[in-house]
Amino acid sequence: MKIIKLGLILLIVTVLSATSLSLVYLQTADRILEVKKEKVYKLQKEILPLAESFEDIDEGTVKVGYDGDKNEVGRIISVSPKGYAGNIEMLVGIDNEDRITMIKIVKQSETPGLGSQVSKSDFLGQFKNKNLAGVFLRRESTDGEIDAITGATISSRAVAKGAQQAIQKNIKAKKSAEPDSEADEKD
Amino acid sequence: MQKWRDIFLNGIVKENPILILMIGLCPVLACSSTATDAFGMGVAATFVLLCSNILVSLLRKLIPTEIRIPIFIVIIATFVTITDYTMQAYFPQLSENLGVFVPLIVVNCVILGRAEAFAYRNTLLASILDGLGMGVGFTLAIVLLGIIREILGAGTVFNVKIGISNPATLLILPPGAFIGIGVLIAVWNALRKSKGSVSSPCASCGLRQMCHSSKEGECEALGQIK
Repeated sequence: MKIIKLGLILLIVTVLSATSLSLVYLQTADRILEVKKEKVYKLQKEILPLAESFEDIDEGTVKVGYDGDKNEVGRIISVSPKGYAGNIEMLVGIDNEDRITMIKIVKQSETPGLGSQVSKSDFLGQFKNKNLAGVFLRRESTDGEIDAITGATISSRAVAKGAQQAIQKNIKAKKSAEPDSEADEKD
Repeated sequence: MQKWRDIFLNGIVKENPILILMIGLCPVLACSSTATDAFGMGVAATFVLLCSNILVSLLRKLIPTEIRIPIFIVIIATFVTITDYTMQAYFPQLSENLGVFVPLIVVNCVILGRAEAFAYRNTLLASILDGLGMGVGFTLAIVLLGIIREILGAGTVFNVKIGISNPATLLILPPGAFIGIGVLIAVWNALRKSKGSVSSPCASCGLRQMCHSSKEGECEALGQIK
């Protein structure tokens, strides 16, 4: 008998707790969602400053940015190249001429103080306005224009690789979306 | 009056949960890389501690001894989740910085420890004062560590730059937390010793209130070890 009584008391306590939690959840859920959306929008806006609104395509890995008149101004591609310690999740903004507008590192677990510097704007700023040929490390390609961080070549290379992947992916996606675009360019 | 003051000050000085009892160290080590994060963690833990102490003390006659621990945990988890949601909604930056350590307040042993050792056996007013005292003691220790680590490791304090040109990054990394807490505990205890306020080992024992032994220094736990 005792065990049933104890079980019932525990049941009452948990039901009361669940009820109060659901009330708090209802109060805060909308606001939490709003805060999250705002954060994502702010980040996207920072990467593609010209864009006013964004649309997800390709299961959210590509976001197309539109300006106020619904013209495409660029895309944000998410890639995750392999770094020194795990994958580096990054967002790459690309304008209509396949040049990089900005790169943001979303998540990385590189060595603190060395590899982690890839998320600093000193390093990422180098990518601005570079096209596919430019986003290689200077020492690894004659056209490369990116200086690696001292002591963090692998991390630097990974970010450059991510930028290359993003541009290539974008060019490929555009081609498959408009099969007759080459014909247009000829006339 | 003296009694109430003692209960409140107990958690800050004589039985400071971090510096003397050394319980609940995990969030202190993890969330003290900046003073702001440390303060946020301290306030969140204090809120949960106070609420759980109040509720446990109010319900202490209704909670059967056999299932008190699961009930404490449900109560604590409820308040932690409330704190988590509120923080996400109104202090998103803080919530992001503290990350997984907000939900982990559930298993902070300061809170369960006070529910078990104090609130379950004492009146409402005493439990409120104990919760506040312990909370302030916890916050004080974590913010102190946060300030030290932020100044020496990042050259800022509460995100305000102060003139340190070449900070030692080590201190804001995990090893810095261990070094910092070690030095802090040593200094705190040296200060206490110099004032002559350290008596028997029982003075700082977390189980003191449950101890049935009448003689100082001869508790059941020690007896078993012998």
